[in-house]
Amino acid sequence: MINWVPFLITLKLAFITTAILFVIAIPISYWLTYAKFKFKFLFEAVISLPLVLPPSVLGFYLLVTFSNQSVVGQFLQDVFDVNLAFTFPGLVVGSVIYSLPFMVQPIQAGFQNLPTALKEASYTLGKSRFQTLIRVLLPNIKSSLLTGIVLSFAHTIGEFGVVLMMGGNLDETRVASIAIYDSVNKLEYDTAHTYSLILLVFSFAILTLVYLFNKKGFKAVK
Amino acid sequence: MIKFDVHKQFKSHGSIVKIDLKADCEEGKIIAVYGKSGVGKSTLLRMLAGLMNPEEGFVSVHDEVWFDSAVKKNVKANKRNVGFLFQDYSLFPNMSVMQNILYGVEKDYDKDFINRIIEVSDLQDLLKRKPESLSGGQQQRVALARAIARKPKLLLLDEPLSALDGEMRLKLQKEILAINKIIKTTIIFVSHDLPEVFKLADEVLVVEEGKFTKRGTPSGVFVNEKTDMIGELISVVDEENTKTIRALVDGKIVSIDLPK
Repeated sequence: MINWVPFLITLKLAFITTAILFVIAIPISYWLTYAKFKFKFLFEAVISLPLVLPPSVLGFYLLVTFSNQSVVGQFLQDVFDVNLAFTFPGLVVGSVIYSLPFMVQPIQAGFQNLPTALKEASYTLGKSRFQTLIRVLLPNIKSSLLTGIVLSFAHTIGEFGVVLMMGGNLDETRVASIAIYDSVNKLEYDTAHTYSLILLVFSFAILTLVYLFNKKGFKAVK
Repeated sequence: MIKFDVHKQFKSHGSIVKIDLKADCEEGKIIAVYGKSGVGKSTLLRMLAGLMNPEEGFVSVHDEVWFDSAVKKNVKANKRNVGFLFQDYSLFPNMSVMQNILYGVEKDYDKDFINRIIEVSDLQDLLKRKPESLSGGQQQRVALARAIARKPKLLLLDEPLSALDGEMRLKLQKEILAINKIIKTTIIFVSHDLPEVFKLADEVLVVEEGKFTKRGTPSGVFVNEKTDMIGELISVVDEENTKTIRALVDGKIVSIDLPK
């Protein structure tokens, strides 16, 4: 009998991470695209760090930052009664930081590819920046939004290093990728095979659907 | 009355352009801003619309101050109630023609007025179409209808007909005149096309080296004077109903019919 719990944890983590990223990445991408600010490149570099940094490095720093021995960890524990190290909320925080560039970069590229005059036309028609964002900019970068959502979701499902460092291998935090590693360590190859195959089929199915949908639905609106 | 006095320096095609443009325009008139490209004509429109700020200056429309550097007043573009027709139309690709036209109007809009605009612009059969399926001329007509749908206090047209061919140009010129009669708003348009200036404008402001150097009716400015920039008058043919002027402009012979 397959133990589905790691998959449920993986899916829950991927959904929550993607939802949080979607909400925070839109203002970040908007700001990176349109703000005129001398040190913007520094922020761009920081946001893109997870692309090049080994996940274990990121996971290690997150663990150090949020452990009970650190100032931040102590503060969260004392004031909000929240413990992020080796807990599911900790996994979410780690995943959000780790997948941030996968959501920000496609959306930023989408904004950059829109003609500036679209935004200006909306302003001259009496609309505020927020109304312009909701009614003109976002609907015209649907394919970028979808790309961001899928990449972040898929990237979170495939996470290993960060979740291992931040969550360890406990019942609450054992996602599918770690369950596979765990099975191999215990020489349970059958379980490892089953888990791996499920992840492979699932990931392939998502990407296939997205590419199909993107081709059909968003050809007109680039 | 529309008054402006704007100063700005900017880079265009590698060289620095300085503009000091000052004028007041009577309400309800069609005013052309005429000059070579790169002299800051479009920049002037953008400053009037609030899409760009002058370094120093003043803009007021019907006694409402939109910009005044002396008291640091700057009304945002979305609060100025201008209509702006962009060179590349800038229709919203995600919306139908009708949705584009209604984008800037309030919920309780004047339906008769909108219908009239649609009729004058000959858009009745295109309302459900998306902009990408329209020709250049059709897109321009939608953009113009969209700009005037909210009855702007000031309508700004940036080279409105430059991308269109002869027949479509004529059609749109007629449409602009018809629309001006309906909404009686002040129109300021930028052009480097002399026949167009003659056809549309009540008054023309000529920009040379960042300043208005001439001002008056098109025939007053271009026919009575001879300058290197404008060209040379070749002939004036008087007929019963019209007066045809032929002039050499930038090496080309331009023929203009003026009603008598």
